[in-house]
Amino acid sequence: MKNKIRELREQLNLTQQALAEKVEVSRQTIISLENGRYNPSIFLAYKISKVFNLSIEIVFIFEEEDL
Amino acid sequence: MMSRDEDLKKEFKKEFIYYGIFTFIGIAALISYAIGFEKSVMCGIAIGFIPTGIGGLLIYRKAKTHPGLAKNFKLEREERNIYISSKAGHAAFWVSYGYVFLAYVFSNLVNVTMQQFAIFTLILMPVVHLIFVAIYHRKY
Repeated sequence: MKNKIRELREQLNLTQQALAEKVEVSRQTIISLENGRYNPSIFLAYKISKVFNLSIEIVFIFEEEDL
Repeated sequence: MMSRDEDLKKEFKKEFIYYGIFTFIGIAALISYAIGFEKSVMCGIAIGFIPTGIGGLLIYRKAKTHPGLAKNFKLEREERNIYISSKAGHAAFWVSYGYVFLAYVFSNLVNVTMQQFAIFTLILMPVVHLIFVAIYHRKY
């Protein structure tokens, strides 16, 4: 699953550490998410989307092969 | 729905009880050793359980008053770490299963006692788990 976390984080001038603290995960998790290596739970996806004030489907791009 | 902090407090309480049980078993083994019941076994249990139990109790007690330590525990229990740990546990189980199966198949060729086999297995299983945790930390 692709996502726009890096792009949106940079728009808000947030560091990976700052975003990690906002959503209560480690910086390593944010790095993995940005690199597309790890797919978050629905709870974490919701928290991240809330930080950016956007809906989940805008931040995370679902593709047929993800289903 | 419970908040993350409430979840964590509940988790701390649970861990505190586990380590209390560890300490209790260790002390019971020490008493058994002192009265002379199965001395070598009880000595081993006491040596293993008492430091683990007391160490755990001290760490979790300190975490109540040290926000930095509590934060570390919180991050240890974040979803990616839990995911990696579960996946590593699953992989380690099947590797260990294969190892026991092969040990059985080749039991006529390899001459080891049950005790040696048990000690090697007890060391191998957590090592395999740790290896998979390291692999999955790189992967995810």
